[in-house]
Amino acid sequence: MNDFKDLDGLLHSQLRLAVMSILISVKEAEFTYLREKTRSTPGNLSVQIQKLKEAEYIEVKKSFRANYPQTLCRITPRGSRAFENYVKAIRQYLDPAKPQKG
Amino acid sequence: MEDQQFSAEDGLKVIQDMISRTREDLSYDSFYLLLWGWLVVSICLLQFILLEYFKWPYHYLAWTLIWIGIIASIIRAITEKRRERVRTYVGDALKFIWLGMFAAFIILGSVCGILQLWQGCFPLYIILYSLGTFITGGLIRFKPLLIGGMACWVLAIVAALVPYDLQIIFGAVAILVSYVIPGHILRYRQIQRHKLSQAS
Repeated sequence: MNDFKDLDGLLHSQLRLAVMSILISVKEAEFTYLREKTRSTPGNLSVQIQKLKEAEYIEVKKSFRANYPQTLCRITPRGSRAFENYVKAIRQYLDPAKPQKG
Repeated sequence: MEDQQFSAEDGLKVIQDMISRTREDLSYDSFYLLLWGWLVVSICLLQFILLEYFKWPYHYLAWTLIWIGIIASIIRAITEKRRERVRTYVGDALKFIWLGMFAAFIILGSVCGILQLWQGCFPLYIILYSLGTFITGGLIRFKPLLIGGMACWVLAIVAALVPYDLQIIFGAVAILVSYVIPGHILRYRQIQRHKLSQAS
């Protein structure tokens, strides 16, 4: 029987998981795009992005476009693996009788 | 969305919700299909009229109107690049595919001109139309484009069996089934999705 603690604590948080779910589907996304899709506040999103960056789950690139600052986020291979493991763990947790593939 | 502890069920729901919200947002833009579709259909029909009804020897000059599409596409691409907030692997792949397709169209036209192969160029063009739409349909998982691409395979073979003036009509029909009709279906779906997302 899997325990709840098997779930990656860094990902098992609503906003961080939402950011990772978006970034797993795209090549890279701007901060404003993530904010709009997750319907979060800029301050909260910045904090969560920083945590994901420190864990090396995402890369953050700051630049300028048309004289405006731009923050681009991209998932790392480590982040992809963590996300996949999280999905497997969550499925196992929700349906322990069913063997998980992969 | 506040950061709070939540259940495993909620976690799965967040993943599904975000992936679906992102997917809806990244659906392929119907603009290029409709622009090039209607433009090439119009050019084919114009060339046919110039050839059949006016017997104009320079009927092929109708294709100079293709510059309208080139200029409109460049403007659109620059505008999109400025507004682009998210990039996908599929989106990047599609850009290269259509850029390569465009180069292939121009080179094929030039080769047909140099070798005086005008009588057989339309079936080759139709094969190229099918390639672009079939690959795009597969990548964005959009059946009307896949069906349009497959219909072009049949049209290319039939077009090879008919005289040049009729080949022009086959070219127009191929573009209609592989660009215009799928383009309008895609546009309709995008409008419906947009309305749904606005309502939610």
